[in-house]
Amino acid sequence: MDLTVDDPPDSPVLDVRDLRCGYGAVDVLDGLSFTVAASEVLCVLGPNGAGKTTLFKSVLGFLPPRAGRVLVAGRELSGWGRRELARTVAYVPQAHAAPFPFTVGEVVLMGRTPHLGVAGAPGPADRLVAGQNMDRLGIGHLAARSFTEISGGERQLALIARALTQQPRLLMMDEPTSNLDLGNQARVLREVRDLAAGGLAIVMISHTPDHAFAVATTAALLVPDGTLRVGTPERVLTEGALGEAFGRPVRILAGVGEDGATLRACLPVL
Amino acid sequence: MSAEAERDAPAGVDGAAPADPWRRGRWPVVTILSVLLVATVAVSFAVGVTAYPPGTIVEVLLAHLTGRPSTVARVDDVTIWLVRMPRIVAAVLVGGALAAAGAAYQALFRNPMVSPDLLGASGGAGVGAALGILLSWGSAGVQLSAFALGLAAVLVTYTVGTLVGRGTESTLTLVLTGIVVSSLCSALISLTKYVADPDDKLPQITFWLLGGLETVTVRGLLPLLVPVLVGLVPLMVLRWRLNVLAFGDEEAASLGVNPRVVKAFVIVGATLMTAASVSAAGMVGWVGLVVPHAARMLVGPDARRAVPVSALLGAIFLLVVDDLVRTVLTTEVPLGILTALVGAPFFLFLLARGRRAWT
Repeated sequence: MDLTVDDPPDSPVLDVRDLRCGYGAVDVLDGLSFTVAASEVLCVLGPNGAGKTTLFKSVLGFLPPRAGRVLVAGRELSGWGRRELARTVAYVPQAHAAPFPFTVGEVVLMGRTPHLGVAGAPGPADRLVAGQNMDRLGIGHLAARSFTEISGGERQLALIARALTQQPRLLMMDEPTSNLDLGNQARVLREVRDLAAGGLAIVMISHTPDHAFAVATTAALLVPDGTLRVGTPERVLTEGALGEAFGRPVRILAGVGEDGATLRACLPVL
Repeated sequence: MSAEAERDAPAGVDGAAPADPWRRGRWPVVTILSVLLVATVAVSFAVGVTAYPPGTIVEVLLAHLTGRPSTVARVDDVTIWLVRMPRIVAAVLVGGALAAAGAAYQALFRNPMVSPDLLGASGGAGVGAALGILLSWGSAGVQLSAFALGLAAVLVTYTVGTLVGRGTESTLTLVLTGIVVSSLCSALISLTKYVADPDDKLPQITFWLLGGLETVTVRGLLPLLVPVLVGLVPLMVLRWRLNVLAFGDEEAASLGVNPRVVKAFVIVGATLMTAASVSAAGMVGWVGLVVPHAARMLVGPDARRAVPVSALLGAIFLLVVDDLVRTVLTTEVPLGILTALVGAPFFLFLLARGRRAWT
């Protein structure tokens, strides 16, 4: 274990520098740099195949970088043990069904695994953490229901609860709003905003620029040539840049929300 | 680490927390099945061609286990200690081992249609036994060569599967390689049958392949007991991590589980148990496939309960079936045929009742 690099209090939770990664002979991404600090929400946008998932795999340690560095809490990713990393970085996959009908409570409890010994099983203290996170996301009443029987939105909330049960500092969310209806999208996005306000660093992949406008402090737009534009959503997600990235002209419309804040939405021009 | 401190912090409310509020089913299934298993074992000693009162059975067992002198007639002593005891213990071990291994494999491969001989353990053991019978190696030699070739077949499957999959350890490649190795083994079994003496060796090989516990001796119990217990250890120890693996390798890794290590240990454990069972009792089919389904219907898929409940149910199931073989039927029908006759319809019943359990 590498303990020589201390984690300065104000350092970013995730620091990616000049990252290059890919599969086989192909470099999918090259020269990527960005940071995410506590309470920040980075929203990654880009067309299909631009490398959003590849970027996630690199940050989660599934795909070793070919060049550049990925630092988590100031320490090189390769210097982290798997369990130790899972206590700092939690992954929220797209809502999916498990092959076996675990209860929602059991699924959320699996988030305690990195806190257990290799041969350990969760105990009452672990159930308490899992229960608190289910209550926080408003799914406490589903604890004894089968994970395969609840709705897609509830499944997504359960997977977020599982990630929170890892008690991480960084949340990596892969399209948390995909396949959800409008109400559930809003529910998930409000959780994202509240969790960041509570001090979590969050990286989320999205296909909807509207969601970046709604909750992101930083937007990262992957364009097909494998480069990344990073900045505030208003600066990065312009009609010109989005049109170029997705290969279709778009319009950005603005409205006023309940508290007088500006709401932005992106519409494709057909 | 601050996370560890937080983990210990809420320990004060432990007493108020119910045992396991989110599990499926309220019944203390493990306790009930344990009692049922003990009762089935007791009944199994008593029933048979000759029925014995409990006093005689206890006296014989105590005499052999503690060396106390016994007044039981020699013929009854032989029947209870040398005939019934090994058969009952073997039924418990083989049934429990096959069912636990099946439950572990089904969780590991994320597929409820998987049985413990998926990677070629039964096929390899069959070749070993057929070869041992053909070359007249005696019953201990047959058991040993069945065990060795059962392990070898799984090793071949794993190595070839990893090579073919170019180190990715893809589950599909592993399963397909297992099918190839199994059918190669059945070709080799056919070859030994083809060259075997049709009056003497051929019927022996055929009967062994049909499966049965009547050939298990007191001395044959140890080579069964040790691998079954050793193989059970990783299954019991890693069963929480087995749950996490149900969500796929990458999600498991993101939860701090090393999928390769867990898979390797569970495959080694389940293979040990399967190979030992097959080498002692021949091809006893259906137990490893059907019993884990019944277990999951009772307690849900959480391997913390599903693995021990599968083991207990498997032990009871095989013991009851073998008791039927010994008592109800006038001629001894091979055990493997009876488990198939009971298992196949029971599987269809489970399929009809609880499709939701694995969709």
